[in-house]
Amino acid sequence: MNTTTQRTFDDWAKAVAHCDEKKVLDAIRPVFDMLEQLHGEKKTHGNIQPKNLHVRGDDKIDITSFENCKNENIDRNSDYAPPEAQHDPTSLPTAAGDVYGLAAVIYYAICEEPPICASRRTEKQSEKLQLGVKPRAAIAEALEKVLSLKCEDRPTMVALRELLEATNSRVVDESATTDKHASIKMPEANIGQVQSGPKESGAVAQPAVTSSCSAATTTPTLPARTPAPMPGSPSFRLVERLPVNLTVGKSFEIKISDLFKEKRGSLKLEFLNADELGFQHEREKDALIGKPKLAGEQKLNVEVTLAETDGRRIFERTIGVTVNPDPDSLWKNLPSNQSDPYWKPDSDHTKPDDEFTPVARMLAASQRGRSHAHEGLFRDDDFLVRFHRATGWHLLVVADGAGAAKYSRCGSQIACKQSLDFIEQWIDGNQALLETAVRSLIENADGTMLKEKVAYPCFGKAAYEAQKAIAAEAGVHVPKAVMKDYATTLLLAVAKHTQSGWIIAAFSIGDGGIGLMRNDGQVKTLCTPDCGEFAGQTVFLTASNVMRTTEQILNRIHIAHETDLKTLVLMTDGVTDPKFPTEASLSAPEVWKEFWTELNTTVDLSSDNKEASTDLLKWLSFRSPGNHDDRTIVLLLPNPNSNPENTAP
Amino acid sequence: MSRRLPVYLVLDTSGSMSGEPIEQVKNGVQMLVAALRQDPYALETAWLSVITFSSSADVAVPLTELTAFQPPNISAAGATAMGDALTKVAECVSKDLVKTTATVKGDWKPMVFIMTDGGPTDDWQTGLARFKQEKWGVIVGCCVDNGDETVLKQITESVVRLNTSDSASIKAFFKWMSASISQGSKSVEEAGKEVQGLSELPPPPPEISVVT
Repeated sequence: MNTTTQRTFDDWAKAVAHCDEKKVLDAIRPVFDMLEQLHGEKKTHGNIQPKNLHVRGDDKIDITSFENCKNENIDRNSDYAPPEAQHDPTSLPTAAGDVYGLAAVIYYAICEEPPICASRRTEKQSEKLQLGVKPRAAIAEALEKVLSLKCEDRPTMVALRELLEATNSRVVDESATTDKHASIKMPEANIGQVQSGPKESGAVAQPAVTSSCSAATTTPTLPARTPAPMPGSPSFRLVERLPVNLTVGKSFEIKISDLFKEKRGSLKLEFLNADELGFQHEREKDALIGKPKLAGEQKLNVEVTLAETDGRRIFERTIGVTVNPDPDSLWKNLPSNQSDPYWKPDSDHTKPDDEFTPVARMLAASQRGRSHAHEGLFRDDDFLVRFHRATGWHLLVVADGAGAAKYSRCGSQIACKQSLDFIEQWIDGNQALLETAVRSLIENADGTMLKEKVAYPCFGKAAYEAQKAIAAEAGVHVPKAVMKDYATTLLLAVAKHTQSGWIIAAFSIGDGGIGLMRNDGQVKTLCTPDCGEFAGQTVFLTASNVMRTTEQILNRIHIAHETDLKTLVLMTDGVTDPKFPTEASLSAPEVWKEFWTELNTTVDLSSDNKEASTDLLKWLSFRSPGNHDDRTIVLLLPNPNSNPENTAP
Repeated sequence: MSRRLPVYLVLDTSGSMSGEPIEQVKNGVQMLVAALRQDPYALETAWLSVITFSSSADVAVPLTELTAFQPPNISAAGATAMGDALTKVAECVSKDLVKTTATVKGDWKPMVFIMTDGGPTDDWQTGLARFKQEKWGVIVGCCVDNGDETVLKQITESVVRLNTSDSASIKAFFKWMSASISQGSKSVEEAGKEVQGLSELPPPPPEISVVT
């Protein structure tokens, strides 16, 4: 593997050159040789920019790689492209354009940032450049001349080199006779006015920021990077990008001091495009504040004014800003395809007519998840509630069709309907057995009979009937489908109010949750977690191995006798994942309390509120990052005023 | 905090990557992050870390949520300490990841992309042994130019090769990585499981061939 040390010009300029004009010119000399030869042959390079330059271990440009990229992938909008190329997209590369590009590269190496892009300078009608750090006068003059907008004013490559070399050699001579360590000291004669500020009348031409002769003589060694500012004279370096990323519509506050890498002396900042970005300069707090308007990589244009004894100097800089989009704005809400044979509404909820029983209210709502809405996919969840009026049993079920199964929206629907159909029938035919089992639980505190003689055959068969119905549907589907295409979970519960309180039996296959809350805050889970071996896996009603043994079925059954029931809740994993993120949290009273407080304060669950299920549906769209599944919830809310005598024991 | 999908980009920054390739890698990282920020799944789920390796491995960006990610300053020089990189990414994972317990649902298994243009110059077997101690989701190895695919094949089944190291290929690779991370984010959020191999990732573009 090639381990030759080569750096990008960019890295090299920052790490080695340190704005040192001499080093920059020495490194770039081979480029002059090459370009002069090219231009002599009436050819051009056309693609001069720092990223195409690489510096070898000996601090010289690697000319081969530079030559290889000529006239390749030319970026007309780059900071290094000449103005004429930016104005005329059809123009061909010219020698004058190369001169501009090389001057811009040198400018970049000296100032550590590119010159203001030519197109922007034209817009602003300002043709004057402002060098951020202070190169020697002749270099500054040469660069300014080249980088001024008119290509006809530009010197040739040879002339540019002569101009630059002239200063360079003088510096070399000078440093040879003086302190070898003083890399940037320079004779007074070389110091000139870099910018357009008014001269101090009568005084020796003094650079606004450049090292003055006095600074040079009183500072024996200058650190290589320091462009030798006069003690106390203002100077600055801004950050290249904001130290934190912002988000559209979200307030932020960044101290102005955090925008500087270095800052000396008094200076004034003006944010030129603050309004456009939604930013403000809060002068009292000395901060940049605001609510970003535009997402993406933005550029904040900053004008820095240095106040000095001999005038004002104005610099234009840009600071990169990353603005994140508002996550909500990225989610689309596309309707599902209504002409699909298995179409069902993207949301659903119970109607008051079906909600009220003599002793309770059953509320249910089901909402298509954001991830499905984003792609116009169907709601795969389903639910159903019924009241078996003759016996007073409340029947509640939710089902979550597997996202990966193509007809699971139908699977969940069949599972809900078929299981409740069967349970109703079973109750009709087994009323005496059911009553004996309930009495046994109430009188002997023994749920064995209810579990083994009632729930086991009833739920086991209900699930089996649901499986059968799904298999039948798959069998007649065109084109041919299999059970797995209808994969769904099934969580169901039956509940009856007696004089001794509520009797509840529950059964579940797959994830999601069934739980109850008592008025004293105690909670009880009525499901066995059905997570697979790895996170995110679950089992489905449609799998052949979920009800193979008696034990498997019995393990899925839970019985409760509650004298102080506040609510019984059935939820698909779209609700349990965000609200009860772990197995343990489903039996944690504090988690339930938080869940109930949120629900109860958002949705008016009182029997007076006829719109409660609609409100419940709205609540289901709560925001939870990373949780965008379909969400379905069924609540059994015992009526506090219900008279137990009204119902048969 | 919701469950995160950690993504580690392990990038070769040895001397041979200098010049155009490393510039394209820098651009690629920025492009990848900008694209993922437009994807609602990734924006809420994916966390990104960049580990670079040359004569030794460095964490250029620790595991960071996409919204807070700032591009690292990468430069190319030195040898190809892939073993050190494997050790480093394994150490990061063992330190960064939230494990699933009875009370906490942990992070999704991390996605790793390893890009190299050479053969390891260090004791990479020791690094590989450490790497294998952690649990990974999909691991994609990518060789550019002289990248040693036999070494990558020992790290992962899923190895691709960039047919050339020009800017178009590197760009295509980052674009494909970004699509793969989107796919990974969507898979954990929608299907509740991590993607496991190349077959579950978007098909690679023509600039990338799968090493079988």
